[in-house]
Amino acid sequence: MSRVRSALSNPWGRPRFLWVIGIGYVVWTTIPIVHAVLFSFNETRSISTFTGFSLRWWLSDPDDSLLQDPAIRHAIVQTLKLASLTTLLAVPVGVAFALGLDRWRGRTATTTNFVMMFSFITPELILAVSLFLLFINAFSVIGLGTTAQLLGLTVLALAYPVVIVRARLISLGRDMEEAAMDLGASPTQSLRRVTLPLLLPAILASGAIVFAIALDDFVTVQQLAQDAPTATVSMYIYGTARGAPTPAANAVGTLMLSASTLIIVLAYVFYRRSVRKQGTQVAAGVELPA
Amino acid sequence: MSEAAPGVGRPRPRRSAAVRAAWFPRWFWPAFATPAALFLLVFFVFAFYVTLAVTFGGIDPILQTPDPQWNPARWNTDALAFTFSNITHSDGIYHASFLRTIAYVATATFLCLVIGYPFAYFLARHAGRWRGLFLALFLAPFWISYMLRMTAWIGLLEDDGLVNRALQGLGLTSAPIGFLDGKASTLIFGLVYGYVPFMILPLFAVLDRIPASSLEAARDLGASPRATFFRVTLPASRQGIIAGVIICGLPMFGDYFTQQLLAATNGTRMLGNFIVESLQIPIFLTRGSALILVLLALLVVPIVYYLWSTSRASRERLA
Amino acid sequence: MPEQPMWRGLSRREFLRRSAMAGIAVPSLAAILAACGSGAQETEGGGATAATGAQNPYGTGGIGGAPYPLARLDAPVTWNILDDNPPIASGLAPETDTTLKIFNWNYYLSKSLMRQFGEQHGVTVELTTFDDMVEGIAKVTSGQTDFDLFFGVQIYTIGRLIAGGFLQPLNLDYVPNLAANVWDQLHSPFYDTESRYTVPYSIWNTGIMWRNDFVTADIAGLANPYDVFWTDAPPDKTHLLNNSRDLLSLAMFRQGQTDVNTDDPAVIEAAKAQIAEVVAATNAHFDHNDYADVPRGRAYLHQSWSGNVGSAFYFLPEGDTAPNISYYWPGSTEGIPGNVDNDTVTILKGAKNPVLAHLFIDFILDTANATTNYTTYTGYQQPMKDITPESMVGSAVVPEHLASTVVREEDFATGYRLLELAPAVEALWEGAYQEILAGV
Repeated sequence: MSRVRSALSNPWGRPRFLWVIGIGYVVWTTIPIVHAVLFSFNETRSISTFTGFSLRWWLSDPDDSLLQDPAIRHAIVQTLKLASLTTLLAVPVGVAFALGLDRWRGRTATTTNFVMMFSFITPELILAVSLFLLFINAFSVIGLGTTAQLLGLTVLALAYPVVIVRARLISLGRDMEEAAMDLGASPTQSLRRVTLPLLLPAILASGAIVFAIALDDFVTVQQLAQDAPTATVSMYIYGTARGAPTPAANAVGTLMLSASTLIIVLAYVFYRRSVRKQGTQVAAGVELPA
Repeated sequence: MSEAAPGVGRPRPRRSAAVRAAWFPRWFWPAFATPAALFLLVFFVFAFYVTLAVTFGGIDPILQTPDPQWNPARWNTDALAFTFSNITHSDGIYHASFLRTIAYVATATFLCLVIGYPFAYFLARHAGRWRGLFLALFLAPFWISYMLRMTAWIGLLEDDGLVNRALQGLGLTSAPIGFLDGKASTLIFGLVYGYVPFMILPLFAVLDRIPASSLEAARDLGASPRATFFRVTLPASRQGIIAGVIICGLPMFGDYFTQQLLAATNGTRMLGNFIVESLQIPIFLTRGSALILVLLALLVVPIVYYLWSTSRASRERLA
Repeated sequence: MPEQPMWRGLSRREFLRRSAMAGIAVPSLAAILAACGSGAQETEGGGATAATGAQNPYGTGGIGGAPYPLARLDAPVTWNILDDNPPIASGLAPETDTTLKIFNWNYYLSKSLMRQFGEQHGVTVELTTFDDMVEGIAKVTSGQTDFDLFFGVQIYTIGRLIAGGFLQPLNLDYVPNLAANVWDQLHSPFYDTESRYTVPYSIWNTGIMWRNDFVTADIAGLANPYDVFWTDAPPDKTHLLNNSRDLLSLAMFRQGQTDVNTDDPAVIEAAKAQIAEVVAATNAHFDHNDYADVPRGRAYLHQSWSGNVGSAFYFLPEGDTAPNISYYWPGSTEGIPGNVDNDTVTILKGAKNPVLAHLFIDFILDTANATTNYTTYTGYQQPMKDITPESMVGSAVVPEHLASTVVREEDFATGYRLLELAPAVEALWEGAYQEILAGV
């Protein structure tokens, strides 16, 4: 026990115990995913006993496979649609808010920031139910459905671009902008040609995060859904897992997993490249305003 | 003579901060913040007001749909009284579930901390050249569907699933254990599995930030490894622990889907189950919205404490 | 034509709502403080009083107690066709190039039939599902949906839907199969004489489904088959139906109570206590996934609708006769009451494709299609003249040992039905159900 404790607390020692924890955690996290992916190729309906390899749930089952079940297709389309639209809405609004918050020191600014952080930390169920009641009672013109889901997801995701971009703004400081303005740039020019390019990696990172959040969201989209075409992949998997689970749910989960991984990898690569590029730009000197 | 861009090369006087600030018109920055502010005002603050109006309103007797009362002067507190009474009295319908939810969340959050802290510590300080890989594997759950991860466990924990077969194969049990028959332990396990990444993230961020120099200084001053941990590392990570507990624990209060997937019996019902089901029984809808208000009232203290402590910590960092 | 937002009620509705609201108590913070005193509140203060009186704009017949007539076997209801909600005209051409939207239970309508209808008419047929009746009703009454057809509507919810203006009256000129193929006794049922707003969909009885390799009691041979839930129910593997009516009536039937539409709080309370016993002893689950759970061994004893037994065959391998699954309707036993029922198909008001909706109803009432629906997918029998027990036993969904899942016309005379309750009474039943869920 004391060896364990000293292993934990010794920053210089050989942390074998910690390696066990590290690898153990990763294995614990990953094994279920591998299991789920594997079972999407099961030939029978079971998600617990593997009998043979088959693409039945991906392609051939006439009612329930990924390819042939219209419910799954609608779910995938709706999920991607909501994720993209949420990113397109939340990121610009969030980035603008971060800029405004950083530069404007009013009372209203801090209050809005507080409200936003409050919405960030409130459990999603409270948000989702309030929005449900909102769209049923006050805004029934909009009603439930894709628009409601989009607005709900945006409220949920708004804090992320703000927090990320704001952190970057604070670390950047005002020097670049002020240098640009001293050299004759107008406020909008300095913003467009100095600040925004410097913020690009943070903007993209927050875009990837907002996309990932909207892709996987469950509670909000479920409460605000209207009919089959507004159901998302998470709702579909939940619905079938609760009642009569089929490997088709595993299949669609695997599909989304692959897509997300691809996007994250691309975003990461892009981020690294633009940061490196920015590094060289900064070293060469600030781009002169036209 | 080269064609230089206007303004280049000509010496410009250094401007004072006040003059520089005046470069931007007064409305410039507020204009940036306005869209988000309006958005939150309508779809967060006003949505909350609608919840109040519905809770304190009535039910249309024929349509059996909520009839919100917009005028605070005419608010009807019956639904809130009913809900509150049923939480506080031991024979109330929400009483057991209320206490149970708190117990589950507390246990799951504690387990997340116990599992998450060592891993975060490992990731921050000992992963070495494998750090990128471990980081990527750790971040994976953030973009893998929560539902898929839970469904995976359903498959694993079935009577004929891998876990039972392994236990029987190793001779530890003779009959399959009904993990999915409605056990609190399965549910807590599911919550831990689902939310432990949220515990690790802030812990990692904070443990990563502890400079090696502080630890070396402690060593140089003669502190034992254990003392270093308890007197340098742990206090330095305090903010991360608070953040982790809040970010990991708070979402669990609104859980109903993990319960439905992994336990689904009356004995494991959480508040979230009652809330979501009340929305579907029109005569009970106001009870559901009242439960939302009660939940919010319960959580507002930790929420505000978290917001206050993070803003204080960030101010300290900037200073 | 979009649904009317619900707060812009019709003048008739306004009148009834205001007179009902007059019964609701005036707000007071003292109510909360008072609540801290004695035990937990049983009901919310100031329940709405129903508008009584002979003037009932929604229909004639039935019994009172609600703002709309409540149908009873000896007090049939004829629903009014209101001026602002007429049936569509006859002889219209079906809509083309559109999506017919169906709102239905899960696994309750053959997907191949939907595809077939779509191909026949050159339209897309889209299905949205709900898990339970309360969920379906909540979605429809929210006014936020635009479905054409609402399937599987229980007869104990019809009055509310009609009075709330959510259903449109049918033009039976488009549905000749109703008169031609459906049982005579359901052409003009007591809950909707002349089939003005509904046509019958499935019939079933509510009984007990079990895995005979795990539950060895001779349930069919018991003097009171319902007793098995109290005496022989396997712990952790017992499931009950998850709605207040079916659940509480289980206990009531066990006691020999035949009035399962009672408004007597004592009877409801007694039933609740009985069910609580079962839950305490077995940690019972509440669902209706028996078609998946019983075959794969998640449940060994399940309170079931007979059609769910048939549904199980969709989940089993081809040719499997499920010898380890048994089913019994306690109503078959001498002197024991049981539930027999049918549900309905309706067309929602404001449906964008009313003609297609009527044609789909006619399509599903075709005997061959009904048989396909029953035997290849849903497992639920439809009340067709040509679908006889003799012709069904031996089919894919009714192997010999499961013959008791077939419902005969005579059973309707001996069985008891779940009928519509007044809102205040429904609140009692739902409240008792909530208490069972809460474990109090």
